[in-house]
Amino acid sequence: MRSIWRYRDLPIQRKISLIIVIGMASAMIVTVANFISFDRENVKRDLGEEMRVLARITAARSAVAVAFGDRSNALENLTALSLRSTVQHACIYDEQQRLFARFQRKESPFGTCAEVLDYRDGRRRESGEHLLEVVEPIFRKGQRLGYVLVASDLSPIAERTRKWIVTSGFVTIVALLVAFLMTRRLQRSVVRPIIDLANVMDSVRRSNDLGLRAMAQGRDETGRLVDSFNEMLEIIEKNNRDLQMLYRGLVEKSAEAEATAASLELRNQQIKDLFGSAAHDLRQPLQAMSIFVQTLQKRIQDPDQLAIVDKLRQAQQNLSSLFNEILDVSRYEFDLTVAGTQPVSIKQLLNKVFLEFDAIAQEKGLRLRFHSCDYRVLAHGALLERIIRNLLSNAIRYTDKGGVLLGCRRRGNRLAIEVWDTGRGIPQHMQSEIFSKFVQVSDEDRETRGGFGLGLAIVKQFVDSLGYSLTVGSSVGRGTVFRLVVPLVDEPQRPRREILATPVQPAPEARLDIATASLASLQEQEETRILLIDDTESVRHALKLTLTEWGFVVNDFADISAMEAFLRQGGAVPDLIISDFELGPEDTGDQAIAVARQVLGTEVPAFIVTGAEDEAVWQRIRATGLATLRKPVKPARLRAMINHLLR
Amino acid sequence: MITRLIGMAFGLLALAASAQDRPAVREAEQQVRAQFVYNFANFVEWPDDAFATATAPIKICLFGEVDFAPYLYSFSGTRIGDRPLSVQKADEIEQIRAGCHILYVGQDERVRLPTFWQEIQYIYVLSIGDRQGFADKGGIINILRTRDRVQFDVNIENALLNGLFLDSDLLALARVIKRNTGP
Repeated sequence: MRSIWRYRDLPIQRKISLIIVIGMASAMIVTVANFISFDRENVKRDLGEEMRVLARITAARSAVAVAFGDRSNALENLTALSLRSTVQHACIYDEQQRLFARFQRKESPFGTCAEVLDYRDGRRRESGEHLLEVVEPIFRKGQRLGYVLVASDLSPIAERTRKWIVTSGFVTIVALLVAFLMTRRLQRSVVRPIIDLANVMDSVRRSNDLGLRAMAQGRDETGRLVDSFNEMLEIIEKNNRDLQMLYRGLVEKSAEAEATAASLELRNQQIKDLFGSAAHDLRQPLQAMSIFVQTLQKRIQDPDQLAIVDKLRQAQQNLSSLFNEILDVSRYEFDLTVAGTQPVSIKQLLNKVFLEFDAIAQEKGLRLRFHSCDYRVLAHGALLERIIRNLLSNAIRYTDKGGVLLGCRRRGNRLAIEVWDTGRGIPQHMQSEIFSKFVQVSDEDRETRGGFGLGLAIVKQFVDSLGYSLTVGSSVGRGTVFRLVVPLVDEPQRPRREILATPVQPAPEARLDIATASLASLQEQEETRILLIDDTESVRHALKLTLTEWGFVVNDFADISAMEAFLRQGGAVPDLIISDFELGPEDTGDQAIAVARQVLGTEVPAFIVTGAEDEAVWQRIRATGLATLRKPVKPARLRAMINHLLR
Repeated sequence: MITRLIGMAFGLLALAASAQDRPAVREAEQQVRAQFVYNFANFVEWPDDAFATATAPIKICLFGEVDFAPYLYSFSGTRIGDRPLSVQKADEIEQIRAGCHILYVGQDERVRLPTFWQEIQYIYVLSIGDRQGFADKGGIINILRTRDRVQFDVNIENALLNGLFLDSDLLALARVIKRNTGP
């Protein structure tokens, strides 16, 4: 088994050589063996014939000696046979087959003649392996007188055979060598292309270079194989090229897409930042505008002018509510991450919203219907309310006749809250886009219906942050349905507790907080005075600007001594002190606050604003027990801190 | 059978080297002589003219007194080639003249020899004797006894004169091959 494996692993050239050598060797061995045995038989027969002739001659010559009983003469005749070197012994027997005369070669290794011949006519005498015995009768005139036996050594035959074997062995080896060398040249034409092909295959595999080709020689099977291989390579190469082109195209497209995504992301972020920063900065002028408009409204008597002012007020209110929407997004999201979701009674929530929108619908000549249900859902109440409010307001905005339906139904462990309208519907291709920012079904809506297309985008953002799902179904000209799916609370509903458990809705409060920038609060702010201490002038100016814009009166100082001088000279008493912590090489914010409080004689509310990164400094700040904001201060934080301390 | 006798004879001869006059020895020698005569018929060729027909017998005539005659008679009738052997007594010249192929001349006829050959004047006769000088005095074969064995001399010239061919092997056995030295 192992030798077979080894044979299989041999190179093809060796295999062919081996086949030739083995084939030739076996043919030659058979031929030689046949020839040798034939020759051996021939030689043996010839030797037998020769011995027979010799025996016959001896028999003829010895008739007289036997007849006359002359042993010396008989022996003389036998001795003549010694000239033939192979004759080992020869004897003459009388008529009774008793030994008459005997010749024995001295150096013969064989035995001698038997005393009694024991010969019968017609019976061939048995010859041994090494000795050939021939017996001839002695006749004289038809009368048998005796017998002659001649024994010949067969060793010359063996010798001859041995010589033949040696010679033919030598000849065989020479022939094999010649055949091997001759066929080596011949088989090269057979084997060379195969080896070349194998080499090419190897190098293709190693270098991965599909441009390589094997050389075809002749049109035999090997040539065809090489051709097929080359064709195959060509096909693979072509396919590979196509694939590479395709791949490159894909890579380019993917890069483009990535770039687009990145730029979109960037834009998105920019918009976010813009809104984030703009909102707060714009709120104060907006509130001021509201106060002034209201003031103006009260003072103007002229009906024409009043109408204009009324429209101004309307526009101002629209602007305000848009602002609130934008601000709510970030506020609610922050709120959600802090507070998380809680069980909320959907019945109460929907009732409230329904009542709110019923009047608006009636105003527009629409019928708002309401199918209530009594479940508790897992939600952030204000956010959920906001979502439903947006959906309802959208429905009413885009519906000119017919009605709007607010309903809910249970679906397993979830609750589907649905808002149906009989509006003009959303075309199929728009349905996935309406949740993007600034997308409206048609451009004219912006003017005729108000809104900037932010509504659904904000809703979608809320829905995503709550982990709900919002789907839309619509057919153009017939209406639209928005379906919000909300998880139910597992525990069984108990109406009494439901009422008790209804959380305080923060939304109305928040709305009050922000939306009602009333004149009263504005007046209040006008009278609020803030003492600002910061040794960095640019920061101080920026802070002062912000605070001033918010309607506060700001007295700012670069160090403690300037502030102290101002206060001792009878400067206005501040309602709040804001101070940087590190005021020059030695002074600190807490010292400034302490000095101010000491001069004023009251515990004026105060907090620290710092850009310190060092942990040791922070520890010192903490040790003062004062509230602290980290620089750069976000307007919202600053505002919240001010509101908190002034309350 | 014949060779056995010869063998016996030789054996006896060897024993009788110093006591040749014993009757047993004599008897053996007589057998050998008879055997010799018979053998000569085997190794001598007669021309076809010597016989009347192709199967005519070879006649052996015993002239005079022959002491081994009884042994020789026992060969009478045996075949030599196609011809039978016939042994007969021939005391008279006329009997010889009637036709003999082998003539054995006994001891007692020795005195008549010189004239005897002229009297027969006959060719194709192998004359055999056992006396001193027989082959010198017209005879062809002379059987004689040496120290230890029985041998024979041949006068080849006389044989040729009588139209006989002696086998070369036979000549090889002869003790002396003679020629006539003078007329």
